[in-house]
Amino acid sequence: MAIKTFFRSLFSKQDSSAATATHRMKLMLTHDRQQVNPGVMEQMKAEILEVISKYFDIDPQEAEFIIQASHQDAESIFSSKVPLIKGVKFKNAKLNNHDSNNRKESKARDKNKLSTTAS
Amino acid sequence: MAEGRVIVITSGKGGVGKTTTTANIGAALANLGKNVCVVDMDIGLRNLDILMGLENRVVYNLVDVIEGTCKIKQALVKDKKLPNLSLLPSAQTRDKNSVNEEQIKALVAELKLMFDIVLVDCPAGIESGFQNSIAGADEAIVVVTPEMSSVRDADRIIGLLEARRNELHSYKLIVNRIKPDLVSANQMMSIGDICEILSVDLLGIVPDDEDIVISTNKGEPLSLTPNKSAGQAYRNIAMRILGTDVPFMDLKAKGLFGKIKAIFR
Repeated sequence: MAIKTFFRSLFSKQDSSAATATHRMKLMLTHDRQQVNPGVMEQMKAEILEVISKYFDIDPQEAEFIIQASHQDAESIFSSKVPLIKGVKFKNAKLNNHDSNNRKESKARDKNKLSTTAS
Repeated sequence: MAEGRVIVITSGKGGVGKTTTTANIGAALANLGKNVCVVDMDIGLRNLDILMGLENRVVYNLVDVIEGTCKIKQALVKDKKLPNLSLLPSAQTRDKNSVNEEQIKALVAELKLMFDIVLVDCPAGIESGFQNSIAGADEAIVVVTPEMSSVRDADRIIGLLEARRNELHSYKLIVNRIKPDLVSANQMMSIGDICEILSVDLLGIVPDDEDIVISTNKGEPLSLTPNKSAGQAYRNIAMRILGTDVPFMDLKAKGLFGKIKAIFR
């Protein structure tokens, strides 16, 4: 048994179940401490990405969401890192098509105007 | 006499070695000359008496004391070898609802006046048995094994302990049942990983040791037997509890394969 695990670890460097466990553990405890279901979390991430993608070209695969949660201090932080594909330009064209809600649309148009005047 | 320290030994998950830890640390502390009482708070599932080899001497139990059937001194069972080590056994035929937090607090307060150190063996779970066990405790020891389910439950426990920070002023971690071979092969979470994940201070590390089974069979805590690695680990923990700075054991994988593994690590 020990020999088997040893050779496994020797021949394939990727196969470290300890690292997998540590990674899964960190994620799990973050959710536990925030008392949020991982499924709800995934839904929220998808919604955030959807909103951002209205305004920027993004690569959803590269997006990172990090929650720092701890028992010790009240300082829990949610942070997200979403790499933009084409620099920081607004996606002007898409704005009008996406919004069905009237109020949102008017706000978006305002932003659209703003960005046009700015550029 | 100054009041003693009350230390609760808890884990959340069952079967990680709380009772073994309590018996071994209790014996080691008594062996260092302290007046020690170990309390079995697992009402309905009495086990600490077996590990200490005192099951045939139990007459009264914790519930009897609380209900006034007997005095504390009548319920305490003295260890066979160490006269300064006593056990307060749990009741086997009652359940956890037989006692409440206030009663346990009063009982613990009385024990504090009689002993230097009171070790409380907490039952698994986070319900009333756990709440009763931490009532009146000054410190806590969280026992965890390097398994995901155990670490998760320990984190939950730490959250609950943190909520009682006013009464319970410190808690530390014991990582139990480490298999050095598996850690070396990167197939078991390391002690460092576990402490980082739980962000808690380490009190001790205990290697997985087959001798524990034998010592349980005999009813003699391993911490009283020289030259046993787990026994040494418990003795070190006892010394750290008393404030001595003892370095952590170097748990390197044993044998030829262990050495080869160490090279390739």
